[in-house]
Amino acid sequence: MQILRVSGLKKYFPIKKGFFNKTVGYVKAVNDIEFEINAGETVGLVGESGCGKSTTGNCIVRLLDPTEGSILYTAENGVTIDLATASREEIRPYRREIQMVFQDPYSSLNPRMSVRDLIAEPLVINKMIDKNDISDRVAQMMLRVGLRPEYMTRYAHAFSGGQRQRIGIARAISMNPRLVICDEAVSSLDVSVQGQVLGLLEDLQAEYHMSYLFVAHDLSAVRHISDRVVVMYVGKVVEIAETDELFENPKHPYTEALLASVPKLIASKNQRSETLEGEVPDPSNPPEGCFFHPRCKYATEDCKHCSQQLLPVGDDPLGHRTSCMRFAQLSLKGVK
Amino acid sequence: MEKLVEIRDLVVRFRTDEGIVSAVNGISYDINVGETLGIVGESGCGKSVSSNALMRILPENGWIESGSILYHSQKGTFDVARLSPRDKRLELLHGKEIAMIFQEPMTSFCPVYTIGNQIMEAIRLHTDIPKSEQKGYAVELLRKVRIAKPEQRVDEYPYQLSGGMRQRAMIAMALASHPRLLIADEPTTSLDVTVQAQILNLMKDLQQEYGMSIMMINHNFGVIAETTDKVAVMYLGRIVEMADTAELLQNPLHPYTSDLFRSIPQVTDARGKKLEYIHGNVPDAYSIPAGCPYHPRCSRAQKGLCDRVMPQPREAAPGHTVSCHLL
Repeated sequence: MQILRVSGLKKYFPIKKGFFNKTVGYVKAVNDIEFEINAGETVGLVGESGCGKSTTGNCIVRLLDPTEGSILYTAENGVTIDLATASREEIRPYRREIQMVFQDPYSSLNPRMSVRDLIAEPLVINKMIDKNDISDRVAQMMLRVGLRPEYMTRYAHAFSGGQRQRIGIARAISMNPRLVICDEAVSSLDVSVQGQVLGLLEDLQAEYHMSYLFVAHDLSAVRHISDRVVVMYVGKVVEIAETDELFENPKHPYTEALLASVPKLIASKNQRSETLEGEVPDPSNPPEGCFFHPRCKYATEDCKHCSQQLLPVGDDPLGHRTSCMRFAQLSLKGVK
Repeated sequence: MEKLVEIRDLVVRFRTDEGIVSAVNGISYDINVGETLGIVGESGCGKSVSSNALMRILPENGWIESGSILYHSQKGTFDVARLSPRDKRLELLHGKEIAMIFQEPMTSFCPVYTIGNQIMEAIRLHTDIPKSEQKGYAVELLRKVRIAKPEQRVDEYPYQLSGGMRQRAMIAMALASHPRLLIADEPTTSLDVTVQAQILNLMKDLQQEYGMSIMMINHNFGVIAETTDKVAVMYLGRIVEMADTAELLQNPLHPYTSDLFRSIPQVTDARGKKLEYIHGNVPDAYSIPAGCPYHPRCSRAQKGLCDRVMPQPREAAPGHTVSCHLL
């Protein structure tokens, strides 16, 4: 069952210049994208910095107002609401159901609040808890995410990065959400702690049947945790597929290049990894046709007129999709 | 092989509000000419402190307690650990024979000077190229690190460059003096994978061209595998395992190394492969456990041995040393 369907989503940021703040152009951070999230699944959203991953996440929780398009969310009570256009009042009853875990556990927790206040805050705001139950509930949440309840009265600065990220996760799941947007949730953590937090996210998902939108640039973590993966490039979705299918059998040259650049344990110093040359284009002035064609080694003249619509690779219109019009002619290499 | 740096039993301490901390606790390693040494470990394990000690750029509250750092410079061998802070030979270490690139290329450049200006400063300080040719040399260096349109970029400010280009410019600046050792402290950590691959290839090509040694400090085993000849794994200020890179990756012997391997997701692992993550946290430097520093987190630790006796480095195979009782 789909719980979220994003279609035609655009988010443009105006570029203002001069004395009268005239708008001289737009940064097309998210430029007409579509994807869907099913109940209980983890969707990985990958791409290089500046490709619009985080903007997409922020639009879904309405930290940003989308420019165009729709984000249809089917709530627990069966009502479908368009998060892209609904007013704040209309969204309020469903806020609890969509939560977010942020990248930087240092700046996303208020240093003047104790852990007890931090974890209880969303519950109190949503009037989901009686004052007398707060300590019990917080202790229970802390245990659940692997923190010791004795530390409830401490402040965030007394915790390590991994522990702070656990506090952030406790805040998100205390609302019993149905969808959690994890925006680079493990990127700033140490390697051994990354593994722990990934494991915690998986355990919690099994227990509470939540869906995750796992926004990350680390392809290894994405492969590990995601059921399906969405690849973005300069504000566009270029490929969507089930995880193993996408990694082993990519159908877009950009995905292939991204996979080839990940450093692998089996590599040796004498090998040169294949690299993508050039730089990501400016999202306020992307190239004609397929945005990737100037860097693509398979590009032909036709690619300059590509409409970049997502095309199904097989028969299933919601299965493996790519925006590369030449995918059928190409045999691209994945990682095994 | 000709040796460039020989570090023996180095101990570096810091004075902090909570007491005195040994950030590096008796480490020894060599760097050979033309070779890349990788240093891996989690934050706070002393990776960067050992390289900062080698360059003698420890912060004011830090000092070298004991041990030696023999550096075989072109002007003779000396012990860096014993140099007075005013010794002229330190200039050799600071950008002339040893150059350094950092993780954050934005904060390592001064924002109010152009890229060219800052590269020319390195040229002025470390070479005897006449003033009239300095700018041309800066452009040539930028071209060498494959920055497009170097004549134009040389007059731009750091904010006008992307992260990858800034790191290239940083490398150009490091190359100005033809260094013999390049210390790369997490050079690609803040970059995208595609840019990371470009920078790593660039570093490998430049190493061949310049014949320099590289010390690659990193926490990503993939980067280590792709760039280094030899690798030292650090945990809480000690080297727990050291071997040739291929040997270490195939045959990790210290429980910390093998646990770390199993806890890191690999892009080549199929979806859903269970991670065996390491329990607990790295202890803080004020309460380093007795005995083997890894024993509280080690699944194979033996009571009465690992929690009492500090294991000494032993050679498990030629060139492969491990500090563990359980071998």
